[in-house]
Amino acid sequence: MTFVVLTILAGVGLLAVGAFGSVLIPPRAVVTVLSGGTVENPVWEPIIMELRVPRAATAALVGGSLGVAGLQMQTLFRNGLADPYILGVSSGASLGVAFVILSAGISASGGLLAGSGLGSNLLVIVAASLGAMAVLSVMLVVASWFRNVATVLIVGVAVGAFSYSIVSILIYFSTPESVQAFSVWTFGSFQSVTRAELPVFAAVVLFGLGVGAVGVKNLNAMLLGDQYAASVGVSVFWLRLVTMISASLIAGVVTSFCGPIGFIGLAVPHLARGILRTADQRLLFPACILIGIALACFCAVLSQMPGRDATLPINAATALFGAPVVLWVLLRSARESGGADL
Amino acid sequence: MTSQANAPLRAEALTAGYRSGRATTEVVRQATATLRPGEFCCLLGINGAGKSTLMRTLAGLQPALSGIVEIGGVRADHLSTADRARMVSLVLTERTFARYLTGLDVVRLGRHPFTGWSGRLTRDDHRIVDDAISLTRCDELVDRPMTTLSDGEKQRVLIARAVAQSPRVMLLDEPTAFLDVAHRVRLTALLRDLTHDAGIALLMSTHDLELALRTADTVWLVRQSGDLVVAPPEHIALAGVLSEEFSDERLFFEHEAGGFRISHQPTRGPLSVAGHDDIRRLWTIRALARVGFDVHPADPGTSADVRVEGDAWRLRAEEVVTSIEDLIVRVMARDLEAPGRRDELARQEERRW
Repeated sequence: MTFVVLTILAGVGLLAVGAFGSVLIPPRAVVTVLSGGTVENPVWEPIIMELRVPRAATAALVGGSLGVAGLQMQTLFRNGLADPYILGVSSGASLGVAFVILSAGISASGGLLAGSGLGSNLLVIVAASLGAMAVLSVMLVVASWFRNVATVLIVGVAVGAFSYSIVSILIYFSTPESVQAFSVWTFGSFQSVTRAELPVFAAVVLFGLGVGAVGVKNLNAMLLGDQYAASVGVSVFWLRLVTMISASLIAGVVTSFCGPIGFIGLAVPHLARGILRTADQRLLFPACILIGIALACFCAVLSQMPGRDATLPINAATALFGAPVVLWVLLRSARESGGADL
Repeated sequence: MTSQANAPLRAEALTAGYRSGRATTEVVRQATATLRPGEFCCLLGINGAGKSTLMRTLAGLQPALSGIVEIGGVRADHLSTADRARMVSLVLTERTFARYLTGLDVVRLGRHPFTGWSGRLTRDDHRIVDDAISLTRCDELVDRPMTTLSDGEKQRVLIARAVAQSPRVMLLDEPTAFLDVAHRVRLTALLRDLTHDAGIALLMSTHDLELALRTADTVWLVRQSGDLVVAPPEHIALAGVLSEEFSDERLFFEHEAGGFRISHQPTRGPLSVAGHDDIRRLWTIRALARVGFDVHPADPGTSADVRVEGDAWRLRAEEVVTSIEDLIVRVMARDLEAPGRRDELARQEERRW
């Protein structure tokens, strides 16, 4: 029953992304275009097919996958404040992007990130992916060296801080235009994935989710801690590696294509637990996908400021919604006994 | 020998400890022991003797430094994690749980090694879970979130989980820690019944020596030297090993009572206590020893410093007091009045300075 409601919510969210924007298109027309029919205004069709569909698909992929990645990290580290970026992947991606935008001197066009020039957009994606992959490989080596989860977590935070310090050095020595371009990238955007890039983006995200689905049963055992998990036959080492790869792949590819999208990965798992009132990962996994889609679409519509030409950065919208959720979680943990924050 | 070969758990010349870099720390050396079906064993030893290390090594949570662990007749290092999980279940000292995790969720995790990739429980799995819940008397606990349960209740749910794993061997790391006396006794009795009824071989580490000596079929005692002594509890007590391991100048093992006593250094004079009522006499002796008298029992009917008579105490010179409190006050006052006592106290005071 809950899942039916969540599915409807996600569907409504997707439709809303199709309908709202600088041009308002009636939801019925969106459905008609998608089902291959013709609509009264011929301009609507290219808008929907070329702009709105990629944007809705991107929002759905980002929301659903970040929700799952957040769930994985919170369960693995048994900490409600963990998120997909806790292993430093997005800061690695930021470093890659900073190198391209700031030091390579591509500062001429502010439209670099608007998705107009595929070539430069691709360069940003490749740089971000390289940065994310570099951090991921470091973290995987660290995870296989240190059995202690807390150590892995601290190294992740340290790697993140290290990357950001290099980014800030690069910013210090850069031209105002390139700094502007970089900070636009850090705001995040669901419009940066073009229709041509969408299949690649979707394939990597779905692969990450698939890898994550393999570990779902065993993550349930992790709820009781490493030792209990090992005692019921879980290879904790492999589960940790597989889960880290899945979550980092998702976080890395999302950051590469859309910038560091904040708060969704942190807030969605808490919403899922709160709505379903369960700790069962087999239910939370699909719930996080659906809630993630709904929340990301909601933020996408919010950032479009319906009927106006201007758009807000996605991260402003997600933080607007995510920050209160984080506060609620913290306050609830502090109020309720038991010390559990998951 | 055949029963040994298929024993649920067997350790032979097992050395357990830690390896960090090139240095190895041996905690338990050359331990040899067998755990039989339906055997309720208690693992004893002072803090830091290596109970947990031995337990973790037997459970396969850390590798043995040398020697062999066999589970169901198969060398543990030849078993996969999944195979071992179908034979050995653990109860650890975990006390924090996820918010929405209910008792039932936890017990069902016991079936984890037997379910397919989706983790779906079959009808048999559900039956085994229900049996484990009723065996451990957790029926009222399983619908509640773990975070709302008391320490004793959490422990029972975790034991139900371990039972649901339908193990041949159950290893428990101090399951009665954090519990009050009544819950400790109840939980130990529950585990003992479980072992005998279900034929599980059970090893639990505990600091509750007296309870272990009264309930265990066999005691495994980790000595400070790193040796493991395996014997019936009575044998261990009679051999004097317990006093060697646990006694010091303040604490000694009382063989008559099978328990520990704090040794009171007498700071006051000798005192004899007589009476027909053994229990009242015992507690009178304890009260007077506690405040520093060198108390010794006297035969009933003989002349004694304190005579227990019904609800009252009769002191010398036919003085009668009616409460322990008054008794202590009067006896201490008399001790001060005793000839030469003041001088002695003064000398003690001088020495102290």
